[in-house]
Amino acid sequence: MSTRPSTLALLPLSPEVATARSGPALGARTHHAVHGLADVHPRLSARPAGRRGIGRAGIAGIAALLLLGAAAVAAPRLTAVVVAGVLIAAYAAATGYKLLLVRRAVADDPTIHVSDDDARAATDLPVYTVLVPAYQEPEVVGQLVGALAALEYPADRLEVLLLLEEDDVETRAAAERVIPGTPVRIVVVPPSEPRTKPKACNFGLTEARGEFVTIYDAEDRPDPLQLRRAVVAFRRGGEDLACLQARLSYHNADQNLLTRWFTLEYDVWFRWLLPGLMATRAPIPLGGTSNHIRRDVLVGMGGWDAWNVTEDADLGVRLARHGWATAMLGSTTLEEANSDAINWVKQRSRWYKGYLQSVLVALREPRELYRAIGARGIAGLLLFVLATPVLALLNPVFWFLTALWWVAEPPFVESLFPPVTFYLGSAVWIIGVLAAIHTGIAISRVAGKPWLAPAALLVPLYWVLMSLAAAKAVLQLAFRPSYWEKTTHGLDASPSSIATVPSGSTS
Amino acid sequence: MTAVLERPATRHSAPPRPVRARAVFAAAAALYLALGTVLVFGFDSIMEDALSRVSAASSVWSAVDPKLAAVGFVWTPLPALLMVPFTVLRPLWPALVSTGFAAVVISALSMAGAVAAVHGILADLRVRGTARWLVTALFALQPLILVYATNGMTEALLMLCLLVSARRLLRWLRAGEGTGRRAHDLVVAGIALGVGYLARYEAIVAAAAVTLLVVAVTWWRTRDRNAVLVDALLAGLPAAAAFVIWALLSWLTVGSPFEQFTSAYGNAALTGASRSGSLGDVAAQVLLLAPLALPLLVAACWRRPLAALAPVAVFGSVLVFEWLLRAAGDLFGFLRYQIMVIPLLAVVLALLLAEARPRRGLRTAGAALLAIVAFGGAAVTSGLLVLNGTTLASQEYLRIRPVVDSVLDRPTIAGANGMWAGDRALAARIDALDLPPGSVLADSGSAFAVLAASAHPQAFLITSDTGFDAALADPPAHGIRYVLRNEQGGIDAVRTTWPNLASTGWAQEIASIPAATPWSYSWTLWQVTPQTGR
Repeated sequence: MSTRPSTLALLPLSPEVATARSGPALGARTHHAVHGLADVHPRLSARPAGRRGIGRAGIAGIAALLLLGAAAVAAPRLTAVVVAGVLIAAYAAATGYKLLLVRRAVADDPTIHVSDDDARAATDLPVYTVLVPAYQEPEVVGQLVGALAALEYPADRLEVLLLLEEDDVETRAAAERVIPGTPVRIVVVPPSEPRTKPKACNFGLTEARGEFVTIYDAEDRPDPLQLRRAVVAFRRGGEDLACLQARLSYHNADQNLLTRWFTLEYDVWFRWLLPGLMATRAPIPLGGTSNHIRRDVLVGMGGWDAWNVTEDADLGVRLARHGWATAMLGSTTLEEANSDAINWVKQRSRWYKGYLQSVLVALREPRELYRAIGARGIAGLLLFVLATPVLALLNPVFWFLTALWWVAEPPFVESLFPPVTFYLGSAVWIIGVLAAIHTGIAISRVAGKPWLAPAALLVPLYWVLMSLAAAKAVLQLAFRPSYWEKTTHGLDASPSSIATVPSGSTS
Repeated sequence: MTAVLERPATRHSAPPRPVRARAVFAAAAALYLALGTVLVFGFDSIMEDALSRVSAASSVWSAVDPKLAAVGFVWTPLPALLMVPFTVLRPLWPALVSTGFAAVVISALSMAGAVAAVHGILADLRVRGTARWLVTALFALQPLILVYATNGMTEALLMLCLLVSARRLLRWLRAGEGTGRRAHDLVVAGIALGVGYLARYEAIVAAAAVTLLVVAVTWWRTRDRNAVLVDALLAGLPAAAAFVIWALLSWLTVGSPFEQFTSAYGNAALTGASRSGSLGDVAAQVLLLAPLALPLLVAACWRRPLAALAPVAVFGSVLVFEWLLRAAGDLFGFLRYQIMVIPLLAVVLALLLAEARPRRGLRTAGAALLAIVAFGGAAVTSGLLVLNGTTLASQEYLRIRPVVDSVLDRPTIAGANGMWAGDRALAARIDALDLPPGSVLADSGSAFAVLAASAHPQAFLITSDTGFDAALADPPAHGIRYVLRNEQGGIDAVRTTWPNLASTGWAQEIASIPAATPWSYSWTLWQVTPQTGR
């Protein structure tokens, strides 16, 4: 599908409001950060509809549910068999799609690599804005300064905006102590709902001057040449290249089994799945940090959706819908992997909730979506972004049915799965588990971390956590759609790993 | 769409152009399918195991108790599973199943894939134009390759898997160490071996050998135990998983994990019944199939010691395994167990002809000459073997000699072609009785040709059907109206259970079908007389 890149019609923002720090102008600036996109284009935002009622897509969804309910009452057995069959088919399609993505990425990796020499040779570097949203994490502000000091980018063209909430006194105090003499500028975000990272980023974006904008978390350790590589990659790319997603990985992979799994998962995600999506020209759900975006396009897209808890994934879809290309950049940012299971479930439930939000938002205008991203794009959206949380949610149901069958062999389980469903389901189950394990083993070698392979052998246990997160996500989507599950950082407590410098484009 | 996405990807080694690989595949497939059509429909030539698999694949749909498990557990399931979609067409085109042609389609396509893989290996190794095409064509036209592309056997599928594995292993060996860049080649090599195990048991030996090779090479390259573990898993895990899962499924379904070794239909039982040939015969078979394989292998080991280990591990291991089984007396002396010497020769030739720099003049001619001598000579000797090897190539001789004689219009031997005529006549006779479902007791292990030829396969109660064991033990009590007993040629549960049907009092022989050829099965058909007071 080729759509000419376009931007949205948006309300203009006066310079006074854009840089306002107090008074009514500040109120306008805050309102812009929260509602800038949702006011003008409510159908592109996850902002709760409130009294405006539900849209046509919502009505269609409710009608489908009612129809299903009626069928379940009228012909319960047939309905159950059909639902089980459809779900098994969805598993098969999602599994097949992911394997296809890996194959595409391996056969023809579209990741843009910029060598160290080319990156250092780049001249006429533009002003680069780095947004660093932080909330209640005074302990990692010091790390931020270290990581920024390592960045090889001229200080006079580097604009780092540390976005702090006004009431986050501790972090603000910690920041005030360490930033003097660095290119970091503190931007205080006034308190307002929703308390989300995208709102803070939108607020910071109004006063950004850079030609390009990127986001790092405070504890991130980006490849020192990443900004230069991004500039070169943008210059090499086409006119429609609006966004580059750098690879994310973890510096504390060795901390425990959870961080090993998480690292393997991320390496598969950023080295194979996202490049595979890119090769198949499907929308790319951007990762939380290290996405580099042309500021003019970002502003023209209305910035981030302050109401979406995975504003990054949503932006990736929105860019694709409006004809903009996203590419992978061969440069790695090291983050801290969540090492605590509870904390991990919180973080993952936010991601899953955000994926669901993003897909639901995109599906509000199915026909327009089809025109913009085509069947392939929609396939990617459904089989990748939607299927990930939905299938994680359904897994326990099928595990339970399997266990029940092994233990008690109740006839109703057998009647749920007629031969075709049974054979397809068994095949998908066996191939899916083996493929997941094998993918983990292979990526450990490709990413140069072979010591992670034993964790890959246990990866099905990781899915249990994913299912917990998916259940939490769905409940929250219904009751607290824009609530931001804060991820606690600084749990790695490994001073030695701080010295680790992430790799560049060589791997 | 976008300029970015259409940027030519930077590549470390350009693979052969897919269009060319597809053309090689298409040409070979067309040739093999055409020859297979002539053999099956012109000469009624189909191997026993091939027809048996087609029949089993069809039973998945057409049995009175349809289920996937009907493909059976004596062999690994992939060949029959690949035939299952074709056998759906049985109602529209009965001959697809009754003649065994569905198996020929699979063997022809597999062998065409093997030819494309050979061409791919030659291209990977940058073997220059003339020599590359010569080796590809001479491989594709080797007599034994032609025979096994067109007779529906599983050799072709195993060869395809082994060649794909060898190709990726070669790439991995040649790429060298460097952040595991070629790990995906090892992944594909391992998966090909795992799939290979689902095609034929022998692949597990190749998987073990390849894993050992990979362990040694990675240890030598990295001295990193973790890297060794990962590479061993990448190479060996798929085959190990296939092994375990297949054994598990077999155990869950038929109660025994290794039917090949424990069931009455497995090779272990069959070879116990007939031992023939010797290691001297094996040596003769190998020498006649590829006279220059050994000297050329030695030369390749000399010139490219590391790369030459790939074909040795993949094909050499399978050959040595067959020889060891032969020496232990656990394997028939069939020529087909030595067929892997042909792809071995092809890969060895490719290694010898591989050259980074362009060749000119005499050296090009030399390369072409080497290909012609090595493969042309092999074609002549193995062709003579197939046409005259009454004992060394018995299976092939009995099927190909009559065809060649007929084409040359000269008197011929009584071969094995048309050997299922009696089974088909029997099927027609039973069809004419117009029986209800599940009323004819037959062991599908021996009656496969009858089942394949029947217009009403549901009339039979076969080995994989629920209730077969009970019906076998007491046919009159289970609605059986006719019992089919194999008298000669097959392993038959009916014959084993009821050696004296006549004396049971409830069965009466109504027909005796003699063997159509010396290699055919002979049958008796028994009517079950209703018992009063039972």
